[in-house]
Amino acid sequence: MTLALAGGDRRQAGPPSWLTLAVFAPTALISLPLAYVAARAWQAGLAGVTEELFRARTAELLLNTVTLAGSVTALSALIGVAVAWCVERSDIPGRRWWRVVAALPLAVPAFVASFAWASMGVAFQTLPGAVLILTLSHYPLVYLPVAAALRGMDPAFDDVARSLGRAPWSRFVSVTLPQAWPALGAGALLVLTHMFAEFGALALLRVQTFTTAIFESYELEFDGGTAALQSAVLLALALPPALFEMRLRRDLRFARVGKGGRRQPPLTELGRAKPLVLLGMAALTALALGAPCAVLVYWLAVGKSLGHAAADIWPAVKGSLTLALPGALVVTALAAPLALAATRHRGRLSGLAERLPYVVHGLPGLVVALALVFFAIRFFPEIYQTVGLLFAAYAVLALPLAQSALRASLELAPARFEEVARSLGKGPLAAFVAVTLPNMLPGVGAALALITLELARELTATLMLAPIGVTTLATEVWSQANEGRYAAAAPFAALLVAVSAIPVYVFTRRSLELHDL
Amino acid sequence: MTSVRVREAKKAFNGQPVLRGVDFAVREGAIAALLGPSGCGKTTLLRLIAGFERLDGGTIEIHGREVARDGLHVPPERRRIGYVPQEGALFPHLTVAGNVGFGLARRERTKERIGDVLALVGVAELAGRYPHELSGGQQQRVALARALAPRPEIVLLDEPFNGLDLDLRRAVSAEVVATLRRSGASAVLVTHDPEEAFASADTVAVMNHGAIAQQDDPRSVYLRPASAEVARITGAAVFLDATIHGAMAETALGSMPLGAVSPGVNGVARVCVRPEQIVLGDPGCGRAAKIVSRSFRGDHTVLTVAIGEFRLPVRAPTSFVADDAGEVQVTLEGSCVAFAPARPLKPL
Repeated sequence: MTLALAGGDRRQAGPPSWLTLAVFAPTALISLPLAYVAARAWQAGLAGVTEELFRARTAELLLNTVTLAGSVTALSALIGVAVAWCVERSDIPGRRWWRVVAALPLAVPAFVASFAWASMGVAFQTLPGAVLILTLSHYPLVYLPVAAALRGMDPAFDDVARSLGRAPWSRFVSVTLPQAWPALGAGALLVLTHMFAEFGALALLRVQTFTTAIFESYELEFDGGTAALQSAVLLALALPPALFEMRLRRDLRFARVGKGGRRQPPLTELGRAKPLVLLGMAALTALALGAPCAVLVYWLAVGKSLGHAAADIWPAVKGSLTLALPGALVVTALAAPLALAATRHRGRLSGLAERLPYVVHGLPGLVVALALVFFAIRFFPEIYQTVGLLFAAYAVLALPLAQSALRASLELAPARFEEVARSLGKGPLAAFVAVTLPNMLPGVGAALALITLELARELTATLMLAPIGVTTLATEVWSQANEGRYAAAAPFAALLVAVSAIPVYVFTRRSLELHDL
Repeated sequence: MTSVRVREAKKAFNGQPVLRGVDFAVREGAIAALLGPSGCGKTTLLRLIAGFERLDGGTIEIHGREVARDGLHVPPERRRIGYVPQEGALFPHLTVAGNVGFGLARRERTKERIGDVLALVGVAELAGRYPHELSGGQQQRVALARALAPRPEIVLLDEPFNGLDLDLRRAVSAEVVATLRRSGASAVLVTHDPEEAFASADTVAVMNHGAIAQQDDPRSVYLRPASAEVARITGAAVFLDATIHGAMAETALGSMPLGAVSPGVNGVARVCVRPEQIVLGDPGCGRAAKIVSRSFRGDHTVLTVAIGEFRLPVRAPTSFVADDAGEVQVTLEGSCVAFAPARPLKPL
């Protein structure tokens, strides 16, 4: 009883001031892109803004961006739900195997897949080609949460619907789908925001959208106004779905009801459709995973420009490591107070901490990088062209990942432990060091590894902010492929895929087993 | 006319037999309880009747129509059953009205019809609410309304009151039973709570180890259990060593008429009495016993008394005051049931 009361008191007491300050550091970083867009618009004036926004070019970019993002999202939703149903609710042979395989296309970064397809022929360097390739690499973002939702669903609902005389298809539409809806919606919105932010793949596929146009403007007139105003439109597109996603995910957390010991939902017998479904799954895997990997192997085996690249591999690996590892440390340090605020204190501060990652989802890496360039050359010219600026960009972009990973490790050390330590005469700091820290350290280690690997595959910000002469695996793939030297890009791409497989494996396990989205 | 008839039902999961040939029947309009410890197969039997699981052997009839046998499995959606699972499982994305209308054909899904069913369970004013806005008891009532709306032949309830607090549980189960009676539907109620089974059902089937050990009306099941296991499953039981002389059992507490004798019991036996049958006798009547401890229970007091080496509980009124020596007279009321002794007995 005393313990429970102590818990209540602690929640109500305001967070310590150091924590409040620490939460504001990432908040300030995240507001930079918005400040940048606002400052630029202010400089251009109303006339300048309208002139830029109402050009035919803006309309064309808008049409391309929305068509691409909309098509990829719709197709990913369709494929994601179908795959999730086959894997979780049908008696498809090798279910456990398909469950993992269906998520693996995430291990091939979109720009690597695009390079692979683009090297096969110009037919793929079109808008429909881009829709196909990006759908194949993004449907797992829908599949994983929907599969988790299907697994977590109480089979009693289906039983009740059966007892009330509903046929299988009717049950799927009126019972299963509505319950999977928050997961489906959140996954689809994540695909949508990814599409607005995608740069590398689209540049390689020669599709003109806002991101590629912004990059062009940036290269043409460094630190110019056009890029900023185009960024404003992009933010206006990308932020609303990210905020919607936040609302859906909040529902998702409450949607899970019931306790352990539930029975497995019955599997639908595919019967004569079985070979057809198997064929579909095989074709999907062949296209999404097999094709890019086969092309990489092909270029590795027969490439003539391979020798050209051999000498560059070590500097690129070194570059990737020296940027990603310290970057991960910076992100973790910045995310720790956010995770603490979100799990240990109720109130405005935790609300802010919980919302920040979703805002970040809506910020394209390109805009973040532009904003950092803008503020650096004006206020801190000495950090421009240093790794410090790149770390700042990493800190923003990897914040959601770091926050969720740290949150998981904080939950291993519940506040009750600390309360017991306090009741045994330890001060707040001593209790944290003696009890909470040792319990969460292993989790922090795993989080660090995960973020390092995730940052190693980051392209956009690295491309724009890395000091001159520093290359990474990702930037090498991009520059070689962009020049048409496909074979030279292949070894970097292959290494990148190998490295990516690890965080994808962890992410898949987590979303399928713990329902932690 | 029987509403449900199960014959020789067999079911195994992963090679583990769960039902070993179950015979079970429910009369038209009656409420039957399936009572048993967890793992005895009662939920499996209910799910077989519903059609959620397939029979391995035997037959099931609902309303004279065969719904399951070797090579036949009518799917649950065509069995005309109502199903109320644990904790209700109301669809969280639908309102109360949406839930109740779910099983009705489109043209029957009218406000009046849904209102009528909700009125039947006494929650008509909740039609517009969502499940998360309801209390546990309200959720159960709506779950029953949803099951009753399509006018099923039989309603199957799978431990529906498990999630409720004890006092609420008694009240809600009484209401649910009253509603079932009003609707005229037959029902099968799975429970592990004997009191709930006795209070709700016309017939109680006691299950143990995948078989029905006894099916009878509540009084008979309680007062004349077919085996020592049934006696334990249906409530507290005290077992006394006895010798049988004709229709009387001689025990350490005196002699007692036999209500029923298990086949093959003769001479040395073990008799089962319910705790409320062991009472305090007037001085000079019954056996003298020494009070070892007493436990206050509110409306009564339980004394633990010793007769020689032998200890047993005796119910006494709350106002009971022991004499200075702490001695009481203990006697038996009513009749008892005799079973074969578990082990060879020492003569008294």
